Amino acid sequence: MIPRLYDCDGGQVLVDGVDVKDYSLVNLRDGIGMVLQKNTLFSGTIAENLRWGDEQADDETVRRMAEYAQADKFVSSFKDGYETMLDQGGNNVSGGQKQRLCIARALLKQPKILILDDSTSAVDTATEAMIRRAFREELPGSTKIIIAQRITSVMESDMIVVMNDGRITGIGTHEQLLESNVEYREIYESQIGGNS
Amino acid sequence: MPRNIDQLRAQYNSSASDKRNRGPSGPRGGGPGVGGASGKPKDAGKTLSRLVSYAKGYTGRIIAVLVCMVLSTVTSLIGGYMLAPVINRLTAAVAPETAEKLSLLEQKVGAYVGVLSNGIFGEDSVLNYISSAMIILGAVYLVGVATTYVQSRLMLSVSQGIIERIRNDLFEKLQRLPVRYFDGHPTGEIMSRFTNDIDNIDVMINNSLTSLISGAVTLIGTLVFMLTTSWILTLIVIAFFPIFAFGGAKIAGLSRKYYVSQQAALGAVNGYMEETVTGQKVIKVFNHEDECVEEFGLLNDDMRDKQFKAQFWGGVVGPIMGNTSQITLAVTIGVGGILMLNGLLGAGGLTVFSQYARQFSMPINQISQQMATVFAALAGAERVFEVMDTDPETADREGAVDLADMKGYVVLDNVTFGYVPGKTVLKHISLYAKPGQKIAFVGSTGAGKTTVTNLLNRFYDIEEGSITIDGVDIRDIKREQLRKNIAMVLQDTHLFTGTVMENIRYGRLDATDDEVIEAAKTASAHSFIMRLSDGYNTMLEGDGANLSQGQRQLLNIARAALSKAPILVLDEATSSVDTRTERHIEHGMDRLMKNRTTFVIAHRLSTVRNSNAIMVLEAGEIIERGSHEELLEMKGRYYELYTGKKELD
Repeated sequence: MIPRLYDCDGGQVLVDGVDVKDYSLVNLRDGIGMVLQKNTLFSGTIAENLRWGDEQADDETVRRMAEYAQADKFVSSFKDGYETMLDQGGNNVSGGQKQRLCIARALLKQPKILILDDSTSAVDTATEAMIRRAFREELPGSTKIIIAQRITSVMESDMIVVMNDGRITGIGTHEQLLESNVEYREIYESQIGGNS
Repeated sequence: MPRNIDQLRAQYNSSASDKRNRGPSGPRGGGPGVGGASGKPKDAGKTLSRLVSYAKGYTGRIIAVLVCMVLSTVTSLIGGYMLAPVINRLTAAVAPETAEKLSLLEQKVGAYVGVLSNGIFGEDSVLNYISSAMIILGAVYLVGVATTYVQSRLMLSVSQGIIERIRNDLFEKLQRLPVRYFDGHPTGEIMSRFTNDIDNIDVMINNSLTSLISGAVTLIGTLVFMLTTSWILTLIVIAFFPIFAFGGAKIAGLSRKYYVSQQAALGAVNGYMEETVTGQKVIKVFNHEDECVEEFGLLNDDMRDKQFKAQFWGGVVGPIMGNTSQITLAVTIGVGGILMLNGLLGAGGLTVFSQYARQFSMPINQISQQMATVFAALAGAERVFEVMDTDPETADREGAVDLADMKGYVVLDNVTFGYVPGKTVLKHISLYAKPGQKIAFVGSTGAGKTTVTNLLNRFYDIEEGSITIDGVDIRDIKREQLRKNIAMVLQDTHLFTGTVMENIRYGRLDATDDEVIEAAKTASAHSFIMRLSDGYNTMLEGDGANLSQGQRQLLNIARAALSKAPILVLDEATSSVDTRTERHIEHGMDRLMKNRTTFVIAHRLSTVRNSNAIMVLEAGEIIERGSHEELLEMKGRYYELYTGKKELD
C-alpha cells in the first residue's frame, strides 16, 4: 500500500505527513525501493537488470551495490560476470541468488524507503546478517520496513509490529515484545529460545 | 535505458530457441522451454521406416486405403475426360468430317459410349449418345464418392491407431526415465513432444500422405491423358512447367523465410508480454512502465514488419500461379486451334486438354507444399524417438534382493557424486545412521544437502563409494523395494487431482480410511482438513492450488506418516509452515520419526536441534558433525549459522 500497488479502503497512508494518494505515482515510487516476496528478474544481462534501479549508474556503483547485497561474489564467479544473460524470470540462477540480485537492484535506487517483503527467505542466516549490516551502514538515512518470518531478520529493528489475521497484536522493540506479547515470545522460542 | 531492437530480438529469441542447447545448470535448473516445431530431420529414411513399423497390423487397411485412393483419383480423371466424346459427337453431328481426326483414345471411348447407347436405347442417336455419357459419368462419380468416403474413414482409424501407439510408448518411456533426464529437459520441452511433435505426425499421416499419393496419381494420369490426346500440346505445357516450378519455389522460399522470422518475432513479443505481466509489480515499483512500453513498441513494430512480408509473399503465391496457368491456357488454346484447323486435334480433345493444362501445375504444387509438412513431421518424429531411445533407469541388478524386513541401518561410505560429469557436488561423504536415529543436514544453499537424500533412493547413482542399508548395497536392492522403504517429504510438494483422502493414501495404497485419518492427525493436518468444505472428500485440483503451501506440506507429511517405511527423509518438510505451527506439530513429527531412521534437511535450525547427529555441509563436504550442544561448543560454522553472527570475510 505504501507504493500504491493497492489503495486502502479506509484510513490513510502517510509518507512525510502527506497522503500517498496526493503524490504523483512516479514521484512516490521513485522514492521507494521494494523487494517483493515473489520477485521477478527479466531477460537481459545481470547489469541491465540491476540498472533498473538507476539507469545512469556506472559499473563501479553497480558492483558496490551488488557487494552490499552479497551478490558480487557469485556474480563475479560467473564466466561472463555482470554480462551474464539471465533467462526469462531469472530462472538460471538459484532462489537465494535471485533474491540477492533483487536486493541489489533495489539498493541502486538509493531509496528513501526500503521495503523488504520476506526477501531473504532463501538466503542463509549468515549471509542475511551481512546484508542487514550493509543496510545499516550504507543506508543509514533510509526508512527500512522488513517483513519476515525469521525472528533474527527483525530482532534488531527499532520497532517490531506483530500481526495476526490482519490485525496488529503488538508493537515495540524486541525486548519489549518478549516481555509483553505472548505470540511474539512463542515465535521467538520456537526459533531460538527454547532450551537456552 | 530501453534496449534497441537488435538486443531485444537477440535476448527474447535466444530465450526461446537456445534453451534446448544449454546444459543443465544444476538439479533444479532450466526454465520453461519452447520446443521448436519445425526443423529438418537428420535421417529421414530411418525415421520413416521406424514410423512405418508402427503401422504393423494395419497392413490390410492401408492397402485398402491405397486402392481407394487410386480409384478415387482415377475416377475424377475419367470424369473430366468424358467431356471429350460428348463434344466430339456434337461436332460430328454438325460437321461429319471431323470424326476422322480424333485421337485413338477418343475414338475408342467414343465407340464404347456408342455401344452402350445402342444397348440401352436401341438406337445410337446424338441425344441417346449424350444420355449414355451422362450415365457413365454418374457411375464414375458414384464410385469416386464411395472410394473417397471409405478411404478417409479407414485412413483416420489407421492414423489415430498409430498416434495412440506412439503416445503410449512415449508416456510409458517417460515413466521409466531417470530423474537426471528431467533435470536437463524443461517441462515445456517434454510437453511439446506430446503436443506439437505428435500433432505434426498426425497431420502428416492424415493429410500429407493422402495428398502426396493422390497428387502423384493425378499427375501421372493427367500426363497419360494429355499424351494420348496430343503430344505437341503436352510438350508445350511441360515446357511451361519449369517457369511454374522455379517461380513457385522462389516465392514459396521467400514466404517461408519471412514466415520463420514472423514466428520468431511473435515468440519475442509473447515472451516479452509474459515477462511483463508476471513482473507487473516490479515494473510499477521501479517506475519502469514507459521503458516497457517503448521496448514493446520496438518488438511490436518488428513483428508487424515481418508479418506483413510473410503474409504478402504467402498471399501472392496463389494469384501469381493462377495467372501463369492462364497464360499456359491461352497458349494451349492458340496452338490447339491451329492444330485443329490442320486436322490434328478434335474439338473434344482441345476442350479436355485446356482443362488439363490448367490443372497440370496443381498436383505439383500440392506435392511441394506437403513436403514441408512431411519434413516437419519427420523432424518431430525424430525428437519423439530420441526420447524413446534415451536410456531408462538401469534395470535391477541380476540377483537383486528383496529386503522385506528393512531395519533402516544406513551407511554412506566415502560417497562422491556429481550431477554433471566433472562437477562433483559431494566429496567423500561418510556417515551412518542406526535404526531409529535422526540425522540432520544443515548448510548453505547448494552445499549438497538435498543431493545426499537424492542418492539414498537412487534418483541418481553414485560414482564412487557405497551406500548400504542393513549392510546391503542399495544397488543390490530391488528399486521398487528400496523406494517403498523410504518415505520422502520433499521441498516441492506435489498433490494430484483427487480427494484429500486419495492424496494421503498415496503414501500407502492399501491403507484404510481410519488409518488415513490417523496419519492426518499425526501430521496435525486433521483439523484443517475438517474445516474444508467436504472434509476428507474435498477434491484437490491442479496440484492442490486451493490449499496454502503450509497445508500442502502438512498433507505431504500425512502421506509419509501413513507409509510404514523404516526410513524417512524430510527435505525442508516444514519450511512453509510458520514456526509457531511447526512447534505445535512437533509432537506429531516426533511420533512420525519414532522408530524410523530419519534424515532431516532444514534451513531452520530449530527444526534440527534435537537430532542425534547434525552434519554441517559446505561445498559438498562435511565440515562439522556432532550433536547440537557439541557443535555449539565448537564455535565453528554451525555456531555462526545458529547465532547469525558470522563475521564478514
